[in-house]
Amino acid sequence: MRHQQTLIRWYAGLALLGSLGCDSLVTDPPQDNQIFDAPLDGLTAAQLKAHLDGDEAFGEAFNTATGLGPVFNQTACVNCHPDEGRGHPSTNLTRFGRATADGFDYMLEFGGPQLQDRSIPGYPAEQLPFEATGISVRGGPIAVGLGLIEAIPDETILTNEDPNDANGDGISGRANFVPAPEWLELSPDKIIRDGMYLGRFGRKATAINLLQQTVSAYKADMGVTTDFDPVEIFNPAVGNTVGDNVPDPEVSAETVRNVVIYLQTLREPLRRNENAPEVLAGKQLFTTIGCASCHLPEMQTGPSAIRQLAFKPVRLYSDLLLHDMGPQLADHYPEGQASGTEWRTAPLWGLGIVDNLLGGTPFYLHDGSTSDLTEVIDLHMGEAAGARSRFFELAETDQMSLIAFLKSL
Amino acid sequence: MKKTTLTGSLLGTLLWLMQATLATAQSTSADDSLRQTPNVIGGIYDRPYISGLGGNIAIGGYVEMNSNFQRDEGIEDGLSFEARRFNIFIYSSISERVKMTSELEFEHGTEEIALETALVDVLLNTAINLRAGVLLSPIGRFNIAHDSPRYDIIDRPLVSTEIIPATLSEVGIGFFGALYPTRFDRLTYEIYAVNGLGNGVVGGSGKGTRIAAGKSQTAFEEDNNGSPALTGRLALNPRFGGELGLSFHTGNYNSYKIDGAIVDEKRRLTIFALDYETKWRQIKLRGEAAIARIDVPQSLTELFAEKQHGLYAEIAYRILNRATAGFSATSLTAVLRYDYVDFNHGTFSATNQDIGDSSRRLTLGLSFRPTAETSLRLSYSRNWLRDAFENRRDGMNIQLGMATYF
Repeated sequence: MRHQQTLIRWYAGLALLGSLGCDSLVTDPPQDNQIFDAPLDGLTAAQLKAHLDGDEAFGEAFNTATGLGPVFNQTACVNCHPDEGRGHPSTNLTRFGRATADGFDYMLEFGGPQLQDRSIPGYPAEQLPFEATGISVRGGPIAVGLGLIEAIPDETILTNEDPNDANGDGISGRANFVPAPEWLELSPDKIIRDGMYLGRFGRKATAINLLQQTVSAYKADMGVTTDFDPVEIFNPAVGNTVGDNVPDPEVSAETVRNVVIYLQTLREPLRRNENAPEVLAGKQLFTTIGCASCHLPEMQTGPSAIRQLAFKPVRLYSDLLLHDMGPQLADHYPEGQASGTEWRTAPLWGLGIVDNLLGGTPFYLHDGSTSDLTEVIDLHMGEAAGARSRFFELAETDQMSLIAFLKSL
Repeated sequence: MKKTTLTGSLLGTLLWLMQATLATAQSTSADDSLRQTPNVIGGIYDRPYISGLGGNIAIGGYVEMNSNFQRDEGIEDGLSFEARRFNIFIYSSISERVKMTSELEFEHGTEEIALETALVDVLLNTAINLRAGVLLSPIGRFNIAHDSPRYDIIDRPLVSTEIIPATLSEVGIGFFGALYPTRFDRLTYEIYAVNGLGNGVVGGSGKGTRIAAGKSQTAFEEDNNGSPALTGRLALNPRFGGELGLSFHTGNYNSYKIDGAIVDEKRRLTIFALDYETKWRQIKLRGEAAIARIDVPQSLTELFAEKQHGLYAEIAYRILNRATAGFSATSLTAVLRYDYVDFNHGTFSATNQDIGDSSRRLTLGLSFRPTAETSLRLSYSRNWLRDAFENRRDGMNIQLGMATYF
């Protein structure tokens, strides 16, 4: 009898615990508009399978046995794009070089253009040479909605080019045309200027498509060779070309393609409070004061092999063009046709939830150097000086509305 | 300085052991029941197959399986079954003073086959005995007494598998014994020189420092750097019952020397552990805490942890203990365990924020034992993982399993 009573007490205790909430006991999925890593709606089963395979590869942490290094920055894609969001400042990478009389020297003999400041045990990491004059510190950008960006036709982006500021609005966006590596697969509808192609990915728009971006991230960021680019990077200071003792290529074309499909099929960030009066007022101000001149609210995709990407609106809030952002944001590091003061207009979608995936602290700008959106706006100079001035001329409530709008993206 | 301190401590411990050995030799009045208790309760000489030994060889083992129903962040993969372990013990009493014991483990079918133990004990006297072979490193109590049927929860404690990489078997040689400072108190010790952990500690996992990644089959053949690690444990069985243990494992883990040539700096890994287990009426308490210090190359700091720590605490309450359903002695135990591991105790220099990379887990379980050697277990665990940037990922697991000695 006493045992039965004891048992009843235990069961009652468990039932009480259960009553605290079944959902909290079995874990809830996060809300769709609070996360980045979700697939496009309407993917077929085969597309979803490829998406999941790519997800696994995106999360793979390389080690000394699987090809990491010998020099590298991070061990996995997700380190710089946690939960496919933007990177934490501790994962920033550095590119460097020096201005010379003839132009710019990427200091290949010192390991440039990217500083691989980590290395596998027993192998020396690269050191930033003191002769470097252009030092560009950058964090990983949000890694979602990229399939939509890739599917925007070149013509659409180039329509907004105004390199000589012909319309006199003080804004002179221009495209970054960059050479394509030999192995890069490009669609025939790409526009070619002087043998070069339109770059659209990366902080200075130096990657033409997601395949190039992925292969270069494997190689330069993780020290992992692929079927596309099987040549390892080494620390030139060591003086030999051996290091991790893992046969090259370390990752197959299949895996790279899975990652590319994964990136292509990650849907864009969903908005929150989109119709709140304050947000709508901020949206209006965003256009009125001129932010939308560069942070173009919407573009359209063209045809795409992935049906869900074809002929869709892309509300990325960027024109994907280069703009002079003035001295405060200058890194003095030219890339392709981008100068040391120019940056590609950063897409603003997802801005309101970056902190969700960075432990609660949003790290804004290309280097994550501030968590204050007002400070971000304050640092906009160069072509953005006019919009910046008009923002600070707004009443405080209007400034707050505009910030609320940005956080709804 | 560190080396001097360590050497001093070891010397001190050795002198103290010698003194206690003499005292033990002079004392013949220790409680007999205490003397008959194995040095490690639940350890390699406290297994049911040995107690039933007829000839000079005994074969036994244990088998363990369970189901998993996991859900992480609201996403589940459904129900699956896991053939967790099938372990075979072979013991031989070669002579009155020479014993051999071994354990061959099959994990997940034949996915992982490992020689967990293969050692010879030469029994000199109670206070000092020689042990050599593939042995369970005495770092933490769980590593030396981890047989699944002994536990009421299916998953092993996190600190005992992640900071202390149980099961840690190493090849080495050393001494063990028991000392009796008073008639009712016992001190047991084990101390061995072993090949130690390997390069994988840093770099073997891309997720950061993972001590378990330093385990290597090649370490059963030779030390990767020619400088053995040292591991030992001192445990007190006080008169009021239970056991309190202090243990360590320290050594250079990287291949800093190859063919006599110095190719890297020496990098040391040191783990300290504190463990306890006690029983009072129907209540059993046990737990373990460990800290690890790892020398990491300068270029890998922050990404790879220099400090790790963790603990687990478990309370079990025997609800029923009587003959039931045709079994002569059944028991039903309710158990609650808390696990915590910080894989990277440090700060990001870029932001002065604490590095996350931690795991917490709370497990509630029920264990029904139709016989003392067999456990049918049901458990619910809720876990909270945090990545390096303190992003939380919640999960849960419901498990039903069985483990039995044979």
